[in-house]
Amino acid sequence: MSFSWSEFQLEPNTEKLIALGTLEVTLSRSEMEWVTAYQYRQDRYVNESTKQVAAFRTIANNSGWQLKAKPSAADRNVVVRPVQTIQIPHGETVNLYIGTPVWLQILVVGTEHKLIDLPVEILSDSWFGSNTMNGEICYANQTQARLDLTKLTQRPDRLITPVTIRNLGGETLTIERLNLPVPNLAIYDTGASLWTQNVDITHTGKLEMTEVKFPMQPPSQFPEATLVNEPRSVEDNNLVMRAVELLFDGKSS
Amino acid sequence: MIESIGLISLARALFVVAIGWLVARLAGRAVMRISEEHVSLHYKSLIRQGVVYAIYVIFLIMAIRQLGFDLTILLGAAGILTVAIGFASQTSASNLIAGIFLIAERAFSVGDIIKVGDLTGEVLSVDLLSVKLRTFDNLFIRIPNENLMKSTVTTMSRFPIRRYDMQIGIAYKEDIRKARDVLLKVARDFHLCLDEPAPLIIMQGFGDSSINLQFSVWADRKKFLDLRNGMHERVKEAFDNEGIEIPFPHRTLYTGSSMQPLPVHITGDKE
Repeated sequence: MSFSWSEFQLEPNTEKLIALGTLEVTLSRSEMEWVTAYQYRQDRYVNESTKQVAAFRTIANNSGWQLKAKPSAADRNVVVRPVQTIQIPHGETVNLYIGTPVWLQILVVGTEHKLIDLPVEILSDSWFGSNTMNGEICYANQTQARLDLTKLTQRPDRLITPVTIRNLGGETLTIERLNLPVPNLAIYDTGASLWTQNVDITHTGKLEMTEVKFPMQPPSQFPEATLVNEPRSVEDNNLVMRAVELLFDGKSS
Repeated sequence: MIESIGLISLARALFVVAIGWLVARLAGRAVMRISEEHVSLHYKSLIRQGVVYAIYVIFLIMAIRQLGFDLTILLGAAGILTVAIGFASQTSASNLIAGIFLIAERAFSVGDIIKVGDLTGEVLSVDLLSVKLRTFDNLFIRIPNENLMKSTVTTMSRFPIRRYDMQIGIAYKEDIRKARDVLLKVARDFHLCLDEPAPLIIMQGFGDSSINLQFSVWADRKKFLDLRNGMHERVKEAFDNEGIEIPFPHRTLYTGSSMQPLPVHITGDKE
């Protein structure tokens, strides 16, 4: 990976530029304060007229000069839409590799105060629910949903989630969108890229009967991977139930 | 001697009322300290009102007894008094009943954004006689419950997402398919615009000066204003870049006989 997720020190009255994805963060430190500025480079959602720099100051009388960059998962579920719909016939099992943008956290070593916690690219909002009254606001993301591990591109700004879907229902399962509970996933560093733990989905016919598991252990493809960040939200039964209810926007046929 | 007993009773009654006032205030504060995780702000303020009024009534009865009045006679007199008060306070009574219905119906609660007639604002409290609103220009408005029962109330913060319907006119010479593609790309490239429910374009018909379209996009309720402002900016920019004209109203003058040009006479001073 070309990006270093490690500790670093800022010299007095100097600036440090951190660029990942389309996000650019400039940090500087004086005796009394941190000054943080960030902006997103031009992309699909940001053009010359909407581009802007945000800046803020953080008082630092009692903090040291060491900072650390940490990867984190999105703060809301991400609804991924495969470029083409995927059909899983009855009895088939598929392993999909789904990439979602990583969040960049910069923390002050010692106090653990977060100077920033931002996505490395702007994500579009999306809605995932059975109708316009019940559901939740998520992020939208398109995915190639690769089946072959060797075809995955190693990018420091993406998190790879290995998703296994077993279709034990009597009919073909068509997946148009998949709601990934990324805030509940931990992040592992394989040395070459960032991964989350496995998400195992077993579909037994009815969408409400779908079982979702994300065991807290390194991805089975990289058992030696090291844990670099805990999940944002601690898993609870309600959340898992919600994920189950709202996992698919597909149909059985 | 009798006078001094009377004064002592009055002092006792006043003391009881003062204690009642203090207890009611403390109880009211205690209710408001209940975590919002257990009880919503709406219900907390209702419970607080109920508790405070109940304590007031109990201590008032105790104070009346301290003054030496017989409560049964008082209650009898109160029955006659109620009829008289009922006639005199019909408006308050109808507001009170409307308030009970509003509270039971739960069409909105404290913190919601509602629209009543021309007024839009945040609900500060739902009381037995009236609902208090804070408008976006920071005015405090009291709406009698009776008025609310009779009018249409729109709760704008009930559902997490909202649709914005943008009315757009394009010139008759423009290609409608191209305009539609440009609009859909604007929605795709604006991160506040939800990809699902998908944006919608509805042909509204042929207007006096333009082909009228309705462009409907969905957004997170909390970011609705940003979406609304951003969409107008982006649609104008995209139409300018693609050379699609947004026409202003045209007026064609007809002289009465077809194919005849409008006669023009030039007048001026003869030298």
